[in-house]
Amino acid sequence: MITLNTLTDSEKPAITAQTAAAKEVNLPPLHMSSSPHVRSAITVPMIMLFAIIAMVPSLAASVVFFGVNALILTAACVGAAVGTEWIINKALKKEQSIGDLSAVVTGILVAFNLPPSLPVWMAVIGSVFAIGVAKMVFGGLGANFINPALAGRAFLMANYPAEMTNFPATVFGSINALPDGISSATPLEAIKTAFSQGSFQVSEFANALPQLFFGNVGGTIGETSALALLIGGIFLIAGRIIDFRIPLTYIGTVFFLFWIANGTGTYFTLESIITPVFHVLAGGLMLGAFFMATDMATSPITPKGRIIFGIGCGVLTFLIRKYGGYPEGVSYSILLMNLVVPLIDRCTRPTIYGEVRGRG
Amino acid sequence: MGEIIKLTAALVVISMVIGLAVAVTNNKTKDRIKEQQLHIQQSAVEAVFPSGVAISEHEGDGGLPYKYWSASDNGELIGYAFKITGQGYAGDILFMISADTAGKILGMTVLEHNETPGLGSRVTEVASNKYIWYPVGSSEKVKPWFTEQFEGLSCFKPIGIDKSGEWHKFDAQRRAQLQSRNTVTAITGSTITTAAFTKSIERKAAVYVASLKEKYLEK
Amino acid sequence: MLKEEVKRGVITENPILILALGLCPSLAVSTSVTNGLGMGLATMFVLVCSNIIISIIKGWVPDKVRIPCFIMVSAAFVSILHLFIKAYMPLLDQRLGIFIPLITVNCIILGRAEAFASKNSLSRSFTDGIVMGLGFTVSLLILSAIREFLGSNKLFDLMVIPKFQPLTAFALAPGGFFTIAFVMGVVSFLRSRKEARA
Repeated sequence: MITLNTLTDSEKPAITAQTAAAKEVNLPPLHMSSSPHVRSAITVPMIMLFAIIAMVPSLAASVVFFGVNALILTAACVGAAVGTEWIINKALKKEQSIGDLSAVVTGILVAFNLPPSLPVWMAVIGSVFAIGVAKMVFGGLGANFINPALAGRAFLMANYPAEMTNFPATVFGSINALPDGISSATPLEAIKTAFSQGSFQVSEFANALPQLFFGNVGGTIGETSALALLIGGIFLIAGRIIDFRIPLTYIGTVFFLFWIANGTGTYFTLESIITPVFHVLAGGLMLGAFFMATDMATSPITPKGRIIFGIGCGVLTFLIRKYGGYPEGVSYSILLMNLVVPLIDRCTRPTIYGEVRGRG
Repeated sequence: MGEIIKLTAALVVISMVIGLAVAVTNNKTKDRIKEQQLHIQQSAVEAVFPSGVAISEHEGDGGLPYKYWSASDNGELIGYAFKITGQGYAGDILFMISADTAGKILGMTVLEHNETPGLGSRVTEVASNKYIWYPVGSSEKVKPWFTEQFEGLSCFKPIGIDKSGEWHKFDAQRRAQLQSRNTVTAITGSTITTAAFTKSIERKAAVYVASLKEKYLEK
Repeated sequence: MLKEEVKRGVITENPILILALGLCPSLAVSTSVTNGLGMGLATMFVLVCSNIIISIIKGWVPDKVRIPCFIMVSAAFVSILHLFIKAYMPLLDQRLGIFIPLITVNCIILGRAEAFASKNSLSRSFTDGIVMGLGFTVSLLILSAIREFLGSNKLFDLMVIPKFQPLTAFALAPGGFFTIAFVMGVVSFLRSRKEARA
C-alpha cells in the first residue's frame, strides 16, 4: 500500500521560532511530522486519473454499442456525484474534496451499472445516494464501508426494479445466445432460463462467446465489452493501482465453480469450459472484479485477506447466479463481502517477528 | 411470606379489575364487530358482480370450495363467485373471481398477496385521479386495470399472456383483439405473478364452474 | 407552564427522535400520513390513560412487581382501544393491523410509566401523557409525510406530483430506516449546533 504524505497547507505546522530563525539565515523552513516518513510522488488525484483512463475503453465501447445515451448517462452521473460532494462539503463546512477526482470515478462507475435506457433523473438519484449516503455520511474518501457505486446501484434496484432490469438491444441488434423459444434481454438470463427449463444446449451458448467478448450483448453500460474491461484492468494492474490478487481469485473462483457445474457432464473436454467462459464474460463479473471489488477502502489490506475476499466474492456470485432468484449476482456478492472485510483484516493480520499470536 | 402474599394480591387485584373492564367492553362491542366483518366479506363479493344483484352464500362439497356465492338478478341466475388461491412469486395470492355458467369471467378482486412492491404488487394498482391539490376529484370506483382486463374472458379456454405492453395503455381496438384471443397483458417484469392468476383460473375456477354447471343443469 | 410542557414533549424530549423510544411501530406505521396520524392518536390515548391509572395506583403497587402491573394496565387500555377500533373504525383496523395490539409493547408507554407516572402527581402525569403523545404523533407525521411522498407519491392517499415515479423503497423497510436515520441525524446536528453556540 503506497503511503501518501502530501500535506495540505492547513496541515503544515505553524512556523515556530526555530524555523523563523532558520529563515533569517536563509535556511529552508523545517517541516515536522511523525513517522512513517515515506514519500511518494503519487497523489490521490493521480490514482483516480489512472482509474478514469482505465475506464475510457469501456466508455468508448458503451457508446459504440448503445449510442450517445450512454455518454449522457455517464455525464449526468458524474455531474451529480461531484455536485453532491461539493454541496455536502459546503453544508458541513469541510474542506472541498472534489479536487481529488474520487467523485468522478464513483460517478462513472455508477453509470456503468445502469441500463442505457434508464431515465437520466433516476441515474442522478442513484449517483446522489452513492456519494451522499454511502460515502459522505460516513466521512468521505476512504471512510466508506461499502462500495459507493454498488450501493447506488442497489438503491436504484430497490426503488425502480422495472426500469433497472429493462435492457434494450445494442445498436447492432444484439444476439443474446437465444436458443429457439427463449427470449431474454441479457445472456445471463438466457443461460439461467435454459438451465431451469432443462433445455441447455452448450453449442448454442458457444456461439455467443465472440459476441460476449467484444460486447454486442444487452446489459448495463459498462459490463458489455469484456475486451474493453480487460484492457482497463490490465492497465490498472500494470500501473500498480490495484492488486492482481482480487480479480484473479474472483474470476478464477467463478470459472472453477462453473466448470464443476458446467451442464455438459464432462470435465476435461473443450465443451466443458464453454459454461465457465460464458459466465466469466457475461454480466458484470469483469467490471466487478477489476473496478468494484478492488476499491481500496472496502477491500482487505493484507495479501492473504485479498485472496480470501476474492474467493468469497466468487462463491457468492456463483451461488446467486446458479441458485438464486436473480440472473446476476456480482453487485450483491461484492456488497456482502465488503461487510466482512474488517473481519478478514483482523484474521489475516501478519504476525510481527517475535510476537506470540494471542486470541484476536 | 407476607411479602409474597402482598405481591400476589397486588397482581391478582389488578388483573381482576382489568379482566372485568375488557370483558365489559367486549360485550358492548361484540355485535358491532361481527356486523363489520360480515360487511367486509360482503363488499368483497359485491365487488365482483354488477351492482344491484341479490347475492346468496352456499356451502360447497365435492368439487366445490367450502364457501361460494351465487348472484341473481330478478330471480335469474347471473353467476357464481369463489375465492381462489394462486401460487405467486412470493407466496400465495388470494383473489375473488366471479363467472357465469358459460365460464365467462364477470369480475375479479385481489384480496391478499405478498408480491414484490413495484412489480407484482401492481395487481392492485389503481390509477388514482384524485390529487391533493383538488381532492374533490372524481369519486367513482375505479377498478385496478390488471383485474379489469380479465372481464369477458373465458375460464374454460387457456388464458394467454401478452408481454408487449400493459392493458391500461391500450386503445379499445387492441383491447378487443386481446379479448378475442382470450389473452391478458402481463405486468412488466412480473410474468410469474400474472401467470399465477391465469394458471389458477384455468385449474380451479374452470373446475368449479364446470361442477356448478352440472348441478345447475341437474336442477 | 403548559407551553413549556408542550415544548418538552414535542421538541426537547421528543420520544422518537431524541429519546429513541417506540422506533419499531414508527418504522412500520409511517408508510402513510393517515396511518401515522391514526397510530399517533391511538398511542396518545393509551399513554394518557395508562399514565393516569398508574399515577393513581402508584402508592399501592409493590415495588417488586411494578413492571408487570404497569404492563397489565397499558395492555388493558390497548385491548379496550382495539375493540373500539374494530367496532367503529374497521378501515383503520385494516390499515394498522397488528400494530394496534403492539402498542402494548411500545417502549414509550412503559418508559413514561416507569420514569414519570410512577413518581409524579396525577395532573403532571396527565400532562406528560398528552405532550409525549403529541410529540410521538408529530414526529410520526413528519416521517410518514416524507415516506409517503417519496415512496408512493401521495399524501393522505391523494396523489401529489403527476407523472412522478415514486421511489418504492421508501414505502418499505429500507426506506423506513433511512428516513428515521436521516431525520434523527438532522435533529441531532441542529441540537449540536445550538449547544455549540450556547
